Amino acid sequence: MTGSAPPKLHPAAGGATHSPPMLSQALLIARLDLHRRLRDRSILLQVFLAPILLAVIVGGAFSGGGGNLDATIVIADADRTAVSGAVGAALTQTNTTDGESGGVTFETVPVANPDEASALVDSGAADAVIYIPAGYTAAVSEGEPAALTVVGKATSPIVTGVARSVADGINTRLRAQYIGTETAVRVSEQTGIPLDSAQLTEALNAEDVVVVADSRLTNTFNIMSFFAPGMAMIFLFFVMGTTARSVLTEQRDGTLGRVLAGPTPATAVVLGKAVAVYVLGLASMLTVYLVTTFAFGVDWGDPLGVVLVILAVVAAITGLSLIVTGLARNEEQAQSMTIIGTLLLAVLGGTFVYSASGPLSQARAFTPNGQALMAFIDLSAGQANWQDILPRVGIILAIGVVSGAIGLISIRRGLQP
Amino acid sequence: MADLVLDCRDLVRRFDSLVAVDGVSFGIGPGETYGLLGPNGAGKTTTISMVAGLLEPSGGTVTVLGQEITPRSTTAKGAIGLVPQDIALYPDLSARENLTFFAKLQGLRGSELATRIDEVLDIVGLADRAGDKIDTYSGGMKRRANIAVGMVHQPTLLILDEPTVGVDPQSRNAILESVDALSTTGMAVLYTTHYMEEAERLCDRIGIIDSGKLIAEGTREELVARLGDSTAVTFRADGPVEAVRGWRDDLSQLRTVSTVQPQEYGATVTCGHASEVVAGAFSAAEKRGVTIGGVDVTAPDLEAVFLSLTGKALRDGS
Repeated sequence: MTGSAPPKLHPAAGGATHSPPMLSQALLIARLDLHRRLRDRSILLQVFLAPILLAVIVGGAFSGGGGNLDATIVIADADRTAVSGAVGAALTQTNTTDGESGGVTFETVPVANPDEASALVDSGAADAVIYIPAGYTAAVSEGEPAALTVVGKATSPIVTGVARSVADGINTRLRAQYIGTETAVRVSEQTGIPLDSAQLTEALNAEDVVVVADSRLTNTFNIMSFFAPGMAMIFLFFVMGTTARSVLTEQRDGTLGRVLAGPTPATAVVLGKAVAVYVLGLASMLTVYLVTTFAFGVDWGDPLGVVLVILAVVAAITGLSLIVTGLARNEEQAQSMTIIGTLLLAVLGGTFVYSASGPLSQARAFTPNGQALMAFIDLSAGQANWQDILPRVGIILAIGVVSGAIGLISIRRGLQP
Repeated sequence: MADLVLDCRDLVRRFDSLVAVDGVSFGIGPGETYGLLGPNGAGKTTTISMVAGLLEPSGGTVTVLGQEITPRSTTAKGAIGLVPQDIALYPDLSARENLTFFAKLQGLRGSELATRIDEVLDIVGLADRAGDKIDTYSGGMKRRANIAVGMVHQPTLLILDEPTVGVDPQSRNAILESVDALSTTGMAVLYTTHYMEEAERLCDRIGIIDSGKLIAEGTREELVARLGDSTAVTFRADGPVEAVRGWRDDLSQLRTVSTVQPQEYGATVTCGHASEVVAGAFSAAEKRGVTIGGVDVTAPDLEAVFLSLTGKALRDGS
């Protein structure tokens, strides 16, 4: 079109000599998708700025502006053994002694029954109670079922969450300690090597059975440790619908048909879109993590654990995004499904009300964000490190893999240029 | 037929009870430009969707260089370049970015990629606007960019689906020039259009498709020869509606007239002896009270062939 003598094509027309591998095509599609989305300022607002702003605003509102948690958790001891006493002592030692206000303060109160424990919350003497029932230590040492009960106020979900996290930690570590001790006794019996009884007693009564002697539970447990990941995940849900919208838009504009008319399988297109969503979601969560950590001093806990949970929950949301893509037939449907999915997951996962009880509490375990939130709370309360949250990471990843597989199958069936 | 680039055999495509393509067979050799000519809704786009591997045929086969094409035959589709009827480009990207993306999907890399992009940008005359976003282009420029993407990977078979629809005359001419130039490269081209003059200008062979069936095929000369000595005569007539209608009926009774196609102001007839028919038409008009304001006598063309074969005009498909 440049005149009367247009340039000639190569004499031996015949197409590219080989098709690139599917993974390479998927990465190309992902790169293009990200490139186009990052040019869209609304995405930048939605994915990066809004979660941080909302976490700061909501966190500030709930904490009365200070941001730090100020609460009293009572260890209501009905067991009254050396071990339960050691637990209480270990926790009260974490209280600040320098006269600073704020933070979680632990108190030990001997009680006779659960009603007395509940009365402590009702009377306002405690914001939450960890009730150690009579016979608890004996049950644990015999390997029998035993549970600590947490009593909290519906109006103090964060404190209740922290108390639950502490109780979980006590339970887990006590059991580990007794299993270790029992193993040592059996080994001693079988090998004939005598076991130092003093050492054994010391091990059982040691204060480090409860490893909460950490500054996280005093002044640095910031309410934003709860809200920041919650808000970041809500915005992650909104990202969930972008895969569907991207595919549907390309379908409408004809570019999808053009891609599929070449040597690009539908699977590469779906994978490419999924990778783009994953990268975007990951960037969003990591941004919230880094900004709240360095700008607002929020302690999310073990960094490796935090990163593992983030990697897993973004994978799960990406998997769910593929289901939306497979089901939605137009952009309006994708939008509706995203909103419904976001609300459902947020409610069931405890993003708004962490200390919910009953079926809602059980439902949390089946949502990726609920599992992630529990992991984040455990990490930020200092009750877990990266190894402890691996089971939760596994569950979150499993949700992602299953939903991704379902989504991929439904998309491949329905993908028409 | 082993040396055919494209071989379509008994293609059928049904959409529920509608048979959009019904037993279409044709082939294209290397360096050949084949025109699929038919009115809107004739089945052209459905046919090329099957050829491009975007649509599963309900029956029949498509092979390109001996390899069967279906929506799942990804490797074989690398030999095809598709230029869809609607603009299929990312509007927020530049022409160069669009070309780079689609060329990379086809496996082009490095210096070959850069060279090819520059070549096709030059061919379609967009080299100086290559860095501008597509949504800043005029309709004609978008069409040209659309074509460039289709041929950036040097396909063995280039499919162009009505590439000049909605394009201004200048851009249209430029597009036709570039397609014409492709014939020198050895590229096989499948070109669909409902513009008779485009088919006549570009295509080595033409298939006429109507209501999903390929009703005739051959070179332009072969197709026109089907009409024998037929000539198309167009009368511009004026008068009462009923009188004009009766006059058209009279035309169909004249000797050597094979078809009568009503026009908005008159009629077009195909006939053997134009002078005799013109005289008869004037005589009939006088009797009916119809005034003939003008007469155009044209040599037989594809329009006349289509009219003769289907009894309807190519452009309006009525």
